[in-house]
Amino acid sequence: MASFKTYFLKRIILALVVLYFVITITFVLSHVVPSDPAELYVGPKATAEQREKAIKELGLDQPLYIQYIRYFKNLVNGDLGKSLRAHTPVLHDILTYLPATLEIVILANILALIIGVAFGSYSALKKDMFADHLIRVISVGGVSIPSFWFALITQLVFFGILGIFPLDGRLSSDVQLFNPVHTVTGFFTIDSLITGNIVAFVDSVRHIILPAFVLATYPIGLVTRMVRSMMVEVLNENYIRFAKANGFRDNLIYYKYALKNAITPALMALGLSFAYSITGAFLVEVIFSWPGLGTYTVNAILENDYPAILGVTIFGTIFYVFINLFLDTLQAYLDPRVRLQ
Amino acid sequence: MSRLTLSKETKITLELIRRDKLAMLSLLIITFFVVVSITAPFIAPYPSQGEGLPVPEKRFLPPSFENPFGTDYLGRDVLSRVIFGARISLFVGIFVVCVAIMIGVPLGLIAGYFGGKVDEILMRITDVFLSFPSLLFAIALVATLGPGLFNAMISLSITWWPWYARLARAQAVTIKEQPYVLASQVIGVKGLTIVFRHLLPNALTPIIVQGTMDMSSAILAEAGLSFIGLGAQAPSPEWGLMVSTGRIYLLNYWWFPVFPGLAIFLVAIAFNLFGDSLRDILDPKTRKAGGQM
Amino acid sequence: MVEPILSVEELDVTFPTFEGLAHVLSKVTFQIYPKEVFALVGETGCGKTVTALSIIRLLPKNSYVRGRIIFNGRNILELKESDMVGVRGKNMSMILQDPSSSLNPMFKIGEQLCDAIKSNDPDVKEPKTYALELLSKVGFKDADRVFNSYPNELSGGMQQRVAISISLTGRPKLLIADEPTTALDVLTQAQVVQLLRQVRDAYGTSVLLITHNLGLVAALCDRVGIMYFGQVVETGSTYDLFYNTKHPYTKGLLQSLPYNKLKDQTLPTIPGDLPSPLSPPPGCRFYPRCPRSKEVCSKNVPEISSISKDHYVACFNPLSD
Repeated sequence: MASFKTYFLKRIILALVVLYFVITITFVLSHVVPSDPAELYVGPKATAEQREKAIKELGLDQPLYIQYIRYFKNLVNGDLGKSLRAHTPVLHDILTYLPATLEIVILANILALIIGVAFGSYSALKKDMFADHLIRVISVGGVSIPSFWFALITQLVFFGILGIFPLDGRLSSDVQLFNPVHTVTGFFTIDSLITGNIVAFVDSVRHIILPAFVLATYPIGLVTRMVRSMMVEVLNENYIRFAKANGFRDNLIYYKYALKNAITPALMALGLSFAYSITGAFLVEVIFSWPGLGTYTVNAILENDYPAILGVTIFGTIFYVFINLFLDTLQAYLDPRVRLQ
Repeated sequence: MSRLTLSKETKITLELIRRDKLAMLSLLIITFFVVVSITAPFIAPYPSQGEGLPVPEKRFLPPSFENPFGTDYLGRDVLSRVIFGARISLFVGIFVVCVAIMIGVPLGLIAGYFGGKVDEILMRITDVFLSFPSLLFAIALVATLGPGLFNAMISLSITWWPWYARLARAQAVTIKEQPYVLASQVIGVKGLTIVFRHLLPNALTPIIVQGTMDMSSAILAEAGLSFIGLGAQAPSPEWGLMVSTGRIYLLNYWWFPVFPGLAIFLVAIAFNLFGDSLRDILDPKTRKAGGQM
Repeated sequence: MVEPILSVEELDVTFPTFEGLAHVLSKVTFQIYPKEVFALVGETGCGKTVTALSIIRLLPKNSYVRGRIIFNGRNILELKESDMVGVRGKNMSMILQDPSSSLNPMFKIGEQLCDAIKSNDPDVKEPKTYALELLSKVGFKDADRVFNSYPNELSGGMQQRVAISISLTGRPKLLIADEPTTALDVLTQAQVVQLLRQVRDAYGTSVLLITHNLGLVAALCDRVGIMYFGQVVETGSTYDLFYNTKHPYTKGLLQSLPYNKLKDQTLPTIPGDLPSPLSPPPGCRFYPRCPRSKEVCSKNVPEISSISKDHYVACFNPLSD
């Protein structure tokens, strides 16, 4: 597996280089681009003294290169600045709100992987027939639907008209009062399950279904398309024809020989959709009043809390870089052909 | 040589598009929206309301013959608002995609053709840009520059040009090995001329496909930004903004957020379906399979 | 009178293409008898592979097929696909031209071979033992090593032998070999040829050998069918075809072989090019290039006439002795 190790090393170095530039760009964005960086940090309503104080604290009166070094040092130490509203460290805020976001993002992507592979491979099998066209329209639809609007529609239908799912939030208020969830991982569904809190478990599941489903529509569309095109290609390969000509059962050919080749594109699609999931989650969270990073960011936007916005961007990007690193590495591990790049 | 074969190819392409029902349907929807946005002041039943004139006595009316999409919280006809919103969305899509292409494609072609240090540098730059989750980066950019439709469009273009640079570069790398390019080099044609005369026309195919589908992504992204308050501002009839303001009235006056969002969906799915069909038609592998019908 | 195990009768195949209908096969007729190697010979593009795919019913979905293919007493063109699955692998199998793309690169040889055994001979109690047996029968001295290898670790010749072993798992009566040696070097070709001979002798399997290599035909085959542009123009024993040639195209093929030519003689070729299958000529398809053509050839399609007991030709003006 020597070639895998070299690939992995190269990939890590690339990730670090990229991270360096990412941080530099955010520095440029926050310290160089604006005409008055101080105002971004204290807000337009600050008094002259507050501004002076902020300039001293943030070191904005220093030469640019010193500011740059400071910026770097702060970041490495985990200091993303202080939120304007709450005066708490941004990093602390982010870590508090993160689990809620992760819960729906992970669930959505798991759903996407399962449904996407199933739809995509079925679609390839029934190529050019009605099922194929139908699935194609569904998957293109998934990729085209505005998530915030779809969220509203699901609320309208499932809560307003049918009344089978709750409107928003992670838990009903009475469950929060009488059966509170003991936090272990921060994921209410898992925590309630492992602490035996069945009432809360059912409640948390009922609350998470709609947001996760709405968030999953884009990844489902993406994964379906990629799996389908890979499967179509594979099914045209000579070795599939050879297997068919020599009596291999159809199920065997399909589920074992062809599907294994579909794993790579599914993972690739998942990587792409993760970028979307992070930002798509923002919009979905707002609609469902889901207390995650999205709600935090949108509130920060409404209140011009610049440090918080920038902090979330940096954090989200770093997170994203590592997710991509992980997925690329996983792909290289599973598929030898990828390592040649 | 390239010019003659291009027209036969084009003819086959057009014919294949004509035969693809989904492609024709989506093209029809796109054309419909284009026509609507061009003729907005003439076909909207209440043009002044479309642009923002409030009508206090007609607030919250449900869909009826006079107001097919109902009225909003200021009494304005939602249908007229949606019609005027089409102008904004289509403009945004065209602007963002064109700017991203105009920046990214030449850079990518040059990097791919000349190779070496230029290529390396461009690759690293695009790597970095592509490492940002694009909407997050756009949010940060807009937050820095200040909310507004124009800033949102600029931010999106800045986030997207790397895709096109990458695409164009990959094309350039393949095409520069072609015999007619080598022949031009032998004659002594200058590099830049080769890039724009030979590489560009033949690299267009995937760029056009990507551009078509990005129209829908641009419209969706911009609607999303407007939804959270970073894009268009009131009283603009931008679709995302309308869904955002209408959100609190969802359960009582559903027509107000639902119809603008439906419009976003229709436009987005039309562009995506068309781009998708176009990709199948233009891709040599699937094209042969489709042609051998 | 021995019954043929495969009788192809008036097989017509047409593909709809973007530019129109391509009449790829026209009234193709030939028979294959038990325990013989039958060669189907012709230039590239004459329809040999299409014929093979028609027999094993793996043509693209939108092909138009007419005619009859009698195998084991049944017209397999009329079988439902689900019944056809019972034919493939067990009564009839196929090996392809390019051995390196015949095997799935993601699975080991042993696994693919065992899967074939389980699909074609489910009664076998120990697939692995049977697999190792098969591998040594096709000539692998180190069957264990091959069993545990991935396809890309083997040479072309070895891959083709593995492919042959897979095709024999169901002990088929007919093995279709589509240009099995074209992608191999000369020495390996000889190995594969030897193996095919063994297949006929030891297993009693008939082989439909598709090739454009007349040398191979002479070395291995019992009977031959010559194809030109979608039609079978002459069939007979190898001896008859080489020494008692009747069809002008067959003659042209034989004459264009570079063997036994003196240094300064020019190599005779058949003038002209293959026309397009979208618009085949109305009469005999060889008419435009035939040195012996008569007026009737341009108007009518020649019927198959019998020269001797096993020697058939489709020509209005066949060569005389």
